[in-house]
Amino acid sequence: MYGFHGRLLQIDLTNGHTSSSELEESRVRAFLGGLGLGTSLLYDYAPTGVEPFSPDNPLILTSAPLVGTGLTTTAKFGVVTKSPLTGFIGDSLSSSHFALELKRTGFDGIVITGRAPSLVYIFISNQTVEIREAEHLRGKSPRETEAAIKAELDSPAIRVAAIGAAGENRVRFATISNEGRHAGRGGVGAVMGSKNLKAVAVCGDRDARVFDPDRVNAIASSLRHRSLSSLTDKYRNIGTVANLAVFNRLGVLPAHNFQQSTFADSDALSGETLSETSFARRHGCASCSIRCERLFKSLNGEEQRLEYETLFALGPLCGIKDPDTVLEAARLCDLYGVDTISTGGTLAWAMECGEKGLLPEAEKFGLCFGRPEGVIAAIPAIATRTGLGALLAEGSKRAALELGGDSLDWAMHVKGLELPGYEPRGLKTMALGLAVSPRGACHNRSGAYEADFSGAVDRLRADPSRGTLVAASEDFAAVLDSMIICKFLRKCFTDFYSEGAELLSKVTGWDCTGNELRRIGQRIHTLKKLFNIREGWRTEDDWLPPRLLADALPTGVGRGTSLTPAELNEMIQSYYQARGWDNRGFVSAENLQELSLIG
Amino acid sequence: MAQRAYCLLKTMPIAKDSLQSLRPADVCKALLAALDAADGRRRKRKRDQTPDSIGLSIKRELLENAVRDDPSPEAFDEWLLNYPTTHAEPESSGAVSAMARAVLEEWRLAHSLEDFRVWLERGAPSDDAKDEKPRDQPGGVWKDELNPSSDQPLFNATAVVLTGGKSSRMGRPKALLLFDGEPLIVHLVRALKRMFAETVIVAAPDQELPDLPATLVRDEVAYQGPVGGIYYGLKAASGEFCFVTSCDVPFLNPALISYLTSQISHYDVVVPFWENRFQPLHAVYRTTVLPLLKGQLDRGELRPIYLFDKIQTCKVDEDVIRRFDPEGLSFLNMNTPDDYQRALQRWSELHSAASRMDDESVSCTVELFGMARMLAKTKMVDLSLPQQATLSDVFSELAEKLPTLVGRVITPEKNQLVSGCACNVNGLDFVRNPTAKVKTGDRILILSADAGG
Repeated sequence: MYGFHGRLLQIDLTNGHTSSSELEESRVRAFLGGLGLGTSLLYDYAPTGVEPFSPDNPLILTSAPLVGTGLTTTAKFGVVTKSPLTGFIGDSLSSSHFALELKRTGFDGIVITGRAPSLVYIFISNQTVEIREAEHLRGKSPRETEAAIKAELDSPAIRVAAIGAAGENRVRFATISNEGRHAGRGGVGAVMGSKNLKAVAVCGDRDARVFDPDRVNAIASSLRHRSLSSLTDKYRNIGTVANLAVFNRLGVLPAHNFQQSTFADSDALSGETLSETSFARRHGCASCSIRCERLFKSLNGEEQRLEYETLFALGPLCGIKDPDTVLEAARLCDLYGVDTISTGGTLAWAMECGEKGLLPEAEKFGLCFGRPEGVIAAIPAIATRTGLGALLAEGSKRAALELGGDSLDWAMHVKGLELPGYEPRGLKTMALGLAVSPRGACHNRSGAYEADFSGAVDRLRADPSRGTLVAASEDFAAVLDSMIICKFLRKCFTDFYSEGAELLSKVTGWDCTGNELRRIGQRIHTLKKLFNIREGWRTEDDWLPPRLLADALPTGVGRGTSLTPAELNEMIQSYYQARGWDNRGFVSAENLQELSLIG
Repeated sequence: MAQRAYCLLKTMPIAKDSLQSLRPADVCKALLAALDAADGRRRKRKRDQTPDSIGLSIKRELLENAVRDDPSPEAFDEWLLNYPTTHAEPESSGAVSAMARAVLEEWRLAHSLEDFRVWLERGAPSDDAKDEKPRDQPGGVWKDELNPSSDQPLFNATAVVLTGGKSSRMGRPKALLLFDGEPLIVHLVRALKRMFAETVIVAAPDQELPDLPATLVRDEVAYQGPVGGIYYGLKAASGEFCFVTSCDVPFLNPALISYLTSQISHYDVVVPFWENRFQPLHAVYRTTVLPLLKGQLDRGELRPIYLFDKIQTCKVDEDVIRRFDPEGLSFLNMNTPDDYQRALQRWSELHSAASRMDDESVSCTVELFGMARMLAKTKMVDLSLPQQATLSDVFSELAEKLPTLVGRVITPEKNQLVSGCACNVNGLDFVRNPTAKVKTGDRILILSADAGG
């Protein structure tokens, strides 16, 4: 095979057995690599109804055909499992050198099952696998773990993906982290912790073959050139933090647990202000010409990366207006290995419960909107499941179920995954995208907000045309996540499916067309849905939190705009129709046949 | 007073700490009381000297809503910004926008001017309130704000123009360079007299100048540089404050000068900081600094910036300056014949553009985000465009005012945004068509076309 090694690695941590098997070309032809391959493997390897923290829940790391080809933004890998936060598919991506080294081990995918009798880490070097003692790494941050393992194995070439204390303690939104990046959402780190697996270390020299290296190099050069145009100016020169001022101005910046849609103190937190006052340096993933990372100086002089979602979730969502608090909270999330969006969303829920008298412990903890010390104290408490942290470590959905009463109305999640920083009442296409995504309230598994920012639709009005838009956006994202190409490059293609098909063909030797690639995206997405259905998805799981349907947009431009249940239902129906599913959202037999998903 | 103040100070930013002592609802209550008082006087005098009744009712409703909503000081700008969208029918949105802008200006004045606040608290008395006691005027910058005649200058202060430099690279006296057939010094004095109660020209001992409606003083010792000129000018001034300018700047900006002058109350000097340099020859000085200037002259310290370390200095940063003068034309001085030619060209362009503007021009505001804001070093720019202006005209005008945006935000042809940027109107609609018309009061947002995060 070209682009792939054609090998899978299975590791059973219970008994320490490892084995490798052939990865069928038919599987990757149907699902590519990355999240497509991961979804396909999860569907096959996870027993129906498996508990996320059961040893039988597989934790799957996947590489992809474009990894290692030198194409810009392709140094990525997938992590797929059953999410302990949602109970549905937990698919996540991370980037940079670990992805390149993972590919060089000679495996396209690693399926990890079982539970080690004590804390361990896995070391894969080319096609040799060791399971090594890791008790001495307990409690260490992912960065500390990485450094320790490199020193222990005496090799700077080794790359490490690890969990922090949060993963060890099965915080339901714990991450797996490498080089300061995170496979961030859905609690993949908690699954890793449930297996007593502290880290995966990789090192190798096995390059996958490329079918037409000259043509791939030419495309790489063209893509690199296009990646440096005005289309990526925001990412290259200010970063995703640029969203904050814009969203505030448009009245779609959720604040105070979605009780507001603007934030009065947004100016101090804006990307423009941070760039002037606190910018430290710019950084990027391996193999990336865009280099969107922004690091800012914190009060203690350290550099801390900040992206929009972190800024929103630990800032306005919690009523925090001070950049130093946000930077410190972000640092703690990195240190302990937790998803910043779910952390912010769960803290904001607790703040509101405290404010309204349902959770007195929140106030005692200092968890009040706008109070920095509460946020700073809560993150370690969550990571170590101490005090109130034990409840919050369950995520806002479970915490609300436990607390009961009106607190259920204030938990801002879909399927258990906390909402990102795009106010759905002011971005109606995004509202649909959040409601129906198999992952939960996710802003990455579709780019539904793109329609709302395009001028092609009225972002404040719901209508049945959005179903087609969301479905198309999901399919596009599925293909990007499986080739793998970063979404920040998406606007640099003139005709993505044609260009993507040519690119894939030149790497793999397949004769892939644009239509086939589009169909692959539909197939990947549908398989995610099938997994969810198998694991208990019901129609009512495709919905939005009560606040978004009960309360009109509270502040800012568009104030007073509402999203009614009837409107949401109409959009969801239009989405099911666009997918070819029945009106309850179940995949039809015709759909299965059309996408060759029979069996 | 209010009318003149509005047109000159409409873009004044507010210091954060001053916001905390005053809530918008308080100011709006006072403005409502002023409206009631004006209504009462109008009925009493049986004549209508106040704005028309439709405008009054729009303003009254806006103020009442502000009192009811009680937005925080920090959020009031945004509340006003969004008000037309949420409270106006489409056909009246222009009038509501205009009224919201007027209230914004009054809110800002209430912060920056103690005298305005006092005036407001006293019920905003008009110039023909014969049965009201004239109030004591506190010493302040504003001259007779109770009598806003259009013939009276705005500031109870002195403008000082320094003409005594050598002009050696120009080869002839810069003050006498012709613009539209008149010496530059004539243009400068004419403009400054509209703003200041007194104008003083400081000339070199043997320098010839045309007859001017200004006080002419000469350097007691020639060529002592700007410190000497400032010293002799302040010494000749009868007022407490002086705006000092050199004579080789063709593009004085009244709005910026007004802003600088309005800031002097708590400082000894208000000085712009442009392109990493203080601009002491475009600054406002309190005459109490005279002894320090004398000391510098005696010591041969001929650079004004030595003064700033010793006194209460208000440094006005670029982002504030750009709000009034996006290109910094105020600081464009002429040292060589080539500089003069370039200035003549720019003068011609600006005056041609101005003559195309009539009373029916379209006024809109461009709000800049992301890279556009960082390149322009300002958050927003006010534009005045001809009737029937389109977004394309907005981009062209913006390109003229902010050339740094060309190529990065605006295409080299200057009529569209680059593909990485998007345009949103009034926070609502993303508009791609550059031929879309612009209305007065529109706010044109320029931001990244990609909302990924």
